[in-house]
Amino acid sequence: MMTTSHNAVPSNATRRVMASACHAWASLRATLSLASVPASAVRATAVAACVAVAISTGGASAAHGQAELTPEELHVLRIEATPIGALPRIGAPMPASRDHNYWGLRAHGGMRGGRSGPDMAAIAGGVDFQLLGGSVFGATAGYQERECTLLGEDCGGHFMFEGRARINLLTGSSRIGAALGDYSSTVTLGTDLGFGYAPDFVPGQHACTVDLGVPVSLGMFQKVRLVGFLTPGVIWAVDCGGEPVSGQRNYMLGSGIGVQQLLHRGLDVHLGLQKIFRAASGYQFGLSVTWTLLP
Amino acid sequence: MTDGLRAGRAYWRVGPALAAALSTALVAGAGCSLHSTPAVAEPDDIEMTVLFIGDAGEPDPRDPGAPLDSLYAHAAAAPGRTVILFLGDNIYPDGIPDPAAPDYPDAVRRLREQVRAVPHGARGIFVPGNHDWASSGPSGLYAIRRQEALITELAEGRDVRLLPENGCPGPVALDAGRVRLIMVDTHWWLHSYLVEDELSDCPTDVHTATDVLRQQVRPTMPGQIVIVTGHHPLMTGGKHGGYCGITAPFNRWAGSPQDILSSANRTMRDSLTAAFEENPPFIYAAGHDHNLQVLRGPPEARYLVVSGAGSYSKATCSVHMRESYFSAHNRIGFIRLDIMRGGGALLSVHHFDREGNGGLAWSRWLEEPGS
Repeated sequence: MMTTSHNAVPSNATRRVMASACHAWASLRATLSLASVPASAVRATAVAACVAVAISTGGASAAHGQAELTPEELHVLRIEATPIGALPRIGAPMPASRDHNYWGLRAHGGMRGGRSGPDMAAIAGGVDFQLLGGSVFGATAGYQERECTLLGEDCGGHFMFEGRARINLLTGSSRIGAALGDYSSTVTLGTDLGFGYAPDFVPGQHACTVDLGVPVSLGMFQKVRLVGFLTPGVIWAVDCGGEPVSGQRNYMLGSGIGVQQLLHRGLDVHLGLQKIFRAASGYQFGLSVTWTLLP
Repeated sequence: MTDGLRAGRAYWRVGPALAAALSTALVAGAGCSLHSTPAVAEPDDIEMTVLFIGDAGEPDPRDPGAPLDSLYAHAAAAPGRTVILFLGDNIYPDGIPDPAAPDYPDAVRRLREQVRAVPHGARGIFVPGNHDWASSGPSGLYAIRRQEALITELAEGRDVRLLPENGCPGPVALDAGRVRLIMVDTHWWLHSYLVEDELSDCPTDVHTATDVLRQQVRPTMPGQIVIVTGHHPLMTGGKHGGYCGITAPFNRWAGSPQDILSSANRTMRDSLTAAFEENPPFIYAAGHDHNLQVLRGPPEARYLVVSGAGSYSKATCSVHMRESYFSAHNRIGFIRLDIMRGGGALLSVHHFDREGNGGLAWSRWLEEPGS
């Protein structure tokens, strides 16, 4: 058993700023059904605002109380604490002209489901660089609620960060789509390599995870592209401070559906579901919005 | 932060139901884009029709079939206002060989099928491609001249010709109403062997060709539609564009000049885009990749067309890119542009399977009617 205690408490002013900024997430969501503003755009703005404010105010809210964690609980929290395990996968990047590089912005909202306890809601934003219309290299920063059932009531949250390379190995036309009558269908096979970091995911403990995935996606239709994707992969927890970690490997499967070029040529929205095959873990469900800047 | 997340959590708690609902909406929305009915131009309002077909140099010897049959039918509906542009690779695999060569008769057959797809009264223009230059071989210049002479011989009263003439790079401009067609031999930039000799009667340096092109794309009247054609595309989601194969993205280092990722191809495209800088043409149309694509063009041109699906045996992969308005792989066909009286330009894609089933697949008003 391991005992953790939490003492750091942000100032009331800091908490007020963070709470009011992030309240936009909820209030904007409530207006979606009334306003004609595209839901994806509003949500992306809210998530980005939350992340920006959270980073600028510089800290996770802390927790009070104590909790005892088994090694298994600690491992599950560790692999679900970084963006790799906290957020669902998104589809392979849409191919683009080999003549250009593209910058993009990304926003995610994710939660854990499929098991009892808190949903460990997470939000994140990121920047992507698509090299010559193919592979994408991105950085992500976000914030996740802690597992307060285990760590103690009002245990707050923690930041999380990720670097990821999404390498497109093969992009070509799909006979599956053609059989369905769509001759624009495109299939992409790639390799995903990510490194995730979450400082103080449990106070005093840092989480580092590495993952390797093999994403396959199929995009169809001429105008608004419908894309389905599947990403089998492996996630490892690695040492980076705190309790030693060794040889902790788990298989994972990401999947989802998305639309590319929704309302605008650069706007993609993905719904994702991810399962890490570890008995005590649940699944991650979430929404991702990406905006690619066209030259 | 926690307050915000809690509020959001209520939203996420309905995850599975939300996923199902959103997924259904997404599929339905995307499905609508598949099944929307393409716009069709009113025949009486058409001022001029341009048909783009490329890489048609391998017609089936038993039955040329679609798309040449369909192309003929489209042109024959109003031949007097129709121009058919054959966008290169008019004879596979090596252009027109020496008449003494054993493959000469079959090369003639391949060209004849295309010339016959131009109805009397319509205008047919053949643009050279890399295969017409003896498949980029040493005798390329002579193969181009043989093709030019043979087209004239096979015309039998039709208005068909090869442009640019005599193995010259061009550009050559033709005006018809408010349309200006400009033909460029892009392979001239890429050819590694003889590109001029004592019979050459044109400037044969890159700077002059670029300067002439720069002058020609400058509109000479308000509302003029400038269309530039060459065999090689400026952008493509096909094999020559760095897609459709596991090695394709690495063609930058080991690729052929025929591929967009190569430095020689980059140099050729730089010449064209430098000429387009001040006055981007309305359309740049090319073949080369054996599929059908319509792409967002800026800054090079407003729209980019790739129509290289003229031979079924060649039809192959295409990737739908972020710049793509339309793409179709493994289909044969052509692309049609209708210029409307009083403004308007409708681009439509017609594609077919091997048995000739198919037809109008997609259309888009590139210029709204009456504009």
